[in-house]
Amino acid sequence: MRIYLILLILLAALVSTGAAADTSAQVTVTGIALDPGVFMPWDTGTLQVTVMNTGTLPITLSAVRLTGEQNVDVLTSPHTGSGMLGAGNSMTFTYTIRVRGEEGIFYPRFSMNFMGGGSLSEPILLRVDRRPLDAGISSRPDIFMEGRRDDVVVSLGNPRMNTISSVSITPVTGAADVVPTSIFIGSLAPGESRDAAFSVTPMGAGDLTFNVQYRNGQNTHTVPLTIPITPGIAKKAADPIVSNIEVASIAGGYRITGDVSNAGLESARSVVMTTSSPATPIDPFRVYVVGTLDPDDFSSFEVTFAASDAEEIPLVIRYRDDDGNLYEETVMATIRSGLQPVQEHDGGLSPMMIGIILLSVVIVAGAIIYSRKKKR
Amino acid sequence: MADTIMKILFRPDEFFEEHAGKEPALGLPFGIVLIYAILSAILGYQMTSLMAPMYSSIAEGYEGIIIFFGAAGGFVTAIIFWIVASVIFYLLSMLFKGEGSMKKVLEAVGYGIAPLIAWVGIAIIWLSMVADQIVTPVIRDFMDPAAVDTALEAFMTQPAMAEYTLLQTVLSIVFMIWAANIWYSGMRYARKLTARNAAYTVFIPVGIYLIITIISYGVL
Repeated sequence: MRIYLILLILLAALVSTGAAADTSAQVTVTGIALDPGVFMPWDTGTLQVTVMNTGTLPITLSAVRLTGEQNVDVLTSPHTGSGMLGAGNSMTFTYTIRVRGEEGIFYPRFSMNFMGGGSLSEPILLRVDRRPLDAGISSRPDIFMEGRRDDVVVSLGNPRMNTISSVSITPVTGAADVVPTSIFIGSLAPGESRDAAFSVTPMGAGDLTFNVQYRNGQNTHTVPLTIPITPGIAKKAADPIVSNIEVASIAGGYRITGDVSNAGLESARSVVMTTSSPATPIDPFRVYVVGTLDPDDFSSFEVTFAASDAEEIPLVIRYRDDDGNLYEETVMATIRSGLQPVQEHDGGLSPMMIGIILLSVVIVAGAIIYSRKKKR
Repeated sequence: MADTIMKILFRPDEFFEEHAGKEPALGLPFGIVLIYAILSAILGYQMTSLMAPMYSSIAEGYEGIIIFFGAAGGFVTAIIFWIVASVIFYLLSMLFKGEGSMKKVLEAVGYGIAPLIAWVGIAIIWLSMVADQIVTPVIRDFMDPAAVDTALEAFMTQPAMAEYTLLQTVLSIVFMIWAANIWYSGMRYARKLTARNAAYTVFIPVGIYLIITIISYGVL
């Protein structure tokens, strides 16, 4: 009798073990979804595990859990595990996880136990990659000029293994006027790159920061790109040079003649020459419009002005660039010592001229009178 | 020769009376006209040099040609003036039955041009003195008559140029009267005219010339 009892227990154990083995074989993991696909250090994301009962009998779950490891924390685990999984049915378990600061490949483990024995354990492949979005300034002027508009191009590239989304660029500066104020790029697939152009018009010295924002899953990351704005003279800018200056007296003032050349590499448009205080421009050439000066081109000019008690007067050159920005340069012109404006006679005649006319009249009258006198 | 010139200038009646019966000799008169023509060419050169920049927008690089034509124009005009004046006097004297040859008239008119040399000489000197005060506007658009008129007016009415124009006008009148006095004597003997007919022959065209000159200046 005792022997039968022992055999019965052994048979029951064998039957139970076989049933348990059958149950675990019926449940399989059919899907694993990670968001983001590849984490960055300290990113928070979700892990979805889908299991399916491929057997013909329902299975009762006794415990379901996700076990983290050193670099992966499970923040929320809403599924405690009790429940029934019908034959041919699937069930999805979602967990919120957060990775720590290390990068590499980690395997948190998903496991479930079944009522009556048996279990399922599935390691989940989780990558942590700290490479951020590649962002750089691909084009900018060598030197910014105050008030002059230049283009700055920001290039973005995605070196990661997963798609990043909501990429946008926002310029931040107090030293320039930047248009547009923001550019939305959208998603960047792995290996994809995009450019974004901004028009920058400096108003002074300072920094210009392009904040490149993107999302890896639900995590927002920012890459700041800072370039200094130090207004100076652009290398290619038009450079009007005044030479061959001659100052001469005219009635009521002076006349400056000379040549203005463009020694720059860009055209100077709407070039205008005039004088400024202490000189007062007078007719006929208060202002001399030279027009457009192409690189290496030159033009003569002529301005007239009145000035008293001044040995040097400022000669003003105004011109515009292709974008219409106005520039002004000043060159000092020296009035030769002793050079005095020719006196105006207010419509009257100069004494010298009166003298010449009177003398001519007297000589001619004398000659005629003398010629008509009878010879004695 | 100096005595001859002095006599022509100050005792033209005596000079031409002495030469009345002689064959006409154009050497000295032509020399006088030639000097007058050369000085006129210099004056023309000065004026076109001042005005050439006005045309720089359409004739850049051709200023030399413009100045050449200015000088040549002055020279040719002086020669033509001599010939035209002689022809006019000759034709007018025909009305009064003048008898001398055209060559004799050319001789007399040539001598009479001597005072005009002084006028042109003074004009040259004066223009040289004020040239650096004269501002020449550039005509940018020759298709715009208003722009051309404005530029020319600005050029002519600027103080230095206005003064020069006045001096030139007054001296041309004064010295033309002197020249007319010589031509009067010259025509009287060259064409064997009475004093009154010689006066008509010379003073009527000269008077018309002077009136035109004064009107051109804008006085009348």
